[in-house]
Amino acid sequence: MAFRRITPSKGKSKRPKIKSMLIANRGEIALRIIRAGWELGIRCVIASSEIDIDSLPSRVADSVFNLGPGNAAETYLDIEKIIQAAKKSKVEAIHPGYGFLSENARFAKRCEEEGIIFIGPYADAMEKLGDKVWGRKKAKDLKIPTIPGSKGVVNDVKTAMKISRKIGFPVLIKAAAGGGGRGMRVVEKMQDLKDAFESAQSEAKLAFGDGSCFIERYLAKPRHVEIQAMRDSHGRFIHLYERECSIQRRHQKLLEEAPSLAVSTLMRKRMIDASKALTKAAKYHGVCTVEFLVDGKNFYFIEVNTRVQVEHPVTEKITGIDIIRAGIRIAGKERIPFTQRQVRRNGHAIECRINAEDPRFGFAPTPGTVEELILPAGPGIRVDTHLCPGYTVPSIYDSLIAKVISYGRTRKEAITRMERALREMVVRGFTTTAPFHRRLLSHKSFRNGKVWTRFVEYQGSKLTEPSEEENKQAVLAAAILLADEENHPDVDNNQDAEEDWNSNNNEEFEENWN
Amino acid sequence: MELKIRDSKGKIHDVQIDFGTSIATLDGDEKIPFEIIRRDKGVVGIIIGDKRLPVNYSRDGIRVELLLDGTKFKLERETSYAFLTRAKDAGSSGLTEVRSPIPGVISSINVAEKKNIKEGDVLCILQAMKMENEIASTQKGKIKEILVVEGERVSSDQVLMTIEN
Repeated sequence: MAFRRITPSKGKSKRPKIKSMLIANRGEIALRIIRAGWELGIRCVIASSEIDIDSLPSRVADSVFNLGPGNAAETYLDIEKIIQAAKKSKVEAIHPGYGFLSENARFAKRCEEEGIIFIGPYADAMEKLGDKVWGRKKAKDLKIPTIPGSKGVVNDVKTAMKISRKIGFPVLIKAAAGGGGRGMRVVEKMQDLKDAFESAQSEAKLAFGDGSCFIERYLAKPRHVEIQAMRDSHGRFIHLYERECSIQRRHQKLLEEAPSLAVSTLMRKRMIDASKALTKAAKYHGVCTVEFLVDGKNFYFIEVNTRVQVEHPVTEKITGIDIIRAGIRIAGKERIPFTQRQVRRNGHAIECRINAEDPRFGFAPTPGTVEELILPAGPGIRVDTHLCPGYTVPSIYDSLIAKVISYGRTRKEAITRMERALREMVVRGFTTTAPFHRRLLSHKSFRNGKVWTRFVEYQGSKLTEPSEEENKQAVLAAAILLADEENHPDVDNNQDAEEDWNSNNNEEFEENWN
Repeated sequence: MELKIRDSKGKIHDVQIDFGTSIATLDGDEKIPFEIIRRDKGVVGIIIGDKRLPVNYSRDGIRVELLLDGTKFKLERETSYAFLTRAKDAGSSGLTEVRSPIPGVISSINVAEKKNIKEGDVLCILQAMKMENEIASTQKGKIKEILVVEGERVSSDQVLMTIEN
């Protein structure tokens, strides 16, 4: 038997083919990409809006290209402006980060037309794999499990019954024309189907003017599990294990971890095989994430994200692999510089997304200025952020201000370290979701790993409202500071009116005052 | 020093503050050491027990808004005046006493005896803690007696005027 031993190259890693890159993004991910770029010896130019011109990534980059004033549509989403920025900056490649134009096939196509390397897949691969319908059909062809459901709209009760029998109960009847829970019914058994179907139809007709409904299998407590993968243009496919992102609210992820407690070795293998087959079928090259829903022993393919994800750090922590660097190399048509054998998983990582939001007011954004900043550090803690003292969080972009990632040899250690990090962390000047995360980490079900995609919503105010202890602290603090003012009549503990940190919430101040 | 604080759930707590020993007593029961952390801009933090909490504090009359370690809290100082108007709802006598919530100076009297007033009407202005505090009526009625004059220094809980229902 002949075998070829693959050894890691000794000495320094080869310099990548790409030597210069425009980063068409902002905030923490822009900084992350600069860091990867510099480690590869790449000149990094940031395309920055006027509003972000003084932000940390813009200050750190080798140079900045000002995209001008205006909102996201006029800057980070303006394809021609970005192309112009790349040409004027004389760069070979554009890194789109996540969000914005990262999954815009037209943008990828424009880059191809202009001879600029787009750090991601080709436009047609992106279009295919990113299309839910294509993905679902391909998955079925490849015998990858998808959520059983009707092929299209179900028009009458008889068909509804036939399909439900085929899919298996419980089923979910949902309006084709809209969402928000209206025109939705969960049906446990066949006897209830007729009434549920008819009432769903009439509710949908009333709400959206269209009574058409789909039927699919209802997953009571699904868990969101995704596989991090990458494929180069030489046919090499590498997986980096999975992440679990079940802690979410309105489809926005709040906390992610790697690996997942819900995944057995066999399930993981099947998910990996599915990811390999799908990326091959789409002739994909680049990094990507394949999303699944896990329901007990079953898993179902949902869709593929053809870009880098916010939560990539947890995977980097458990594998030691730099995903951003790998993505850049792949775009430069290099081979992935490691083998699957060399990707070992170790320990457990957790990421908390810290947003400038108020959980008590429906997670409404609360942009403000950073008056005091202490970022956690020390063993097993990584912080990806663009925050710096004095920074003003703009109100027109998303509210993610920092990602705190903890790593431990076990999940328990990762949790303990995260609790320590959140205790250490100070972001003063506006409300953040840090107190929400502290409550989440101390919740028994979270600690036992018994979570699912509606967990946060199910817990409601238990997670979003201050605990008894926190309330007591507030009462004491208020009393102490009031007393302090009265004690020292020359002292005014009031914050300066100019730094009016509650100026954005004045309306709520009035309305919610009892 | 003793204060009553109404928390955001409406519950009233008794807090006793001893600046000499730096101990705060909550609801007559828990004794908690504290320390105010000041920097040139003012108060930046507060140590309660063994927890150091960054704080932003702002006050408007008896209303306090706190940004405590990332969470926003709205609390109220419970004063005798506030106490009284709540007791009134329980159906006490036909005469309501308007009392000063804090020590200060009456900077203006906005009503006259025998005047009919409605809920929300400003009765007088009390200057205290570097602010002009409006003392407003919480009920509809007729001013019976005004017991203070403009410029008079009043103490906490002093009766300023009486209102007939």
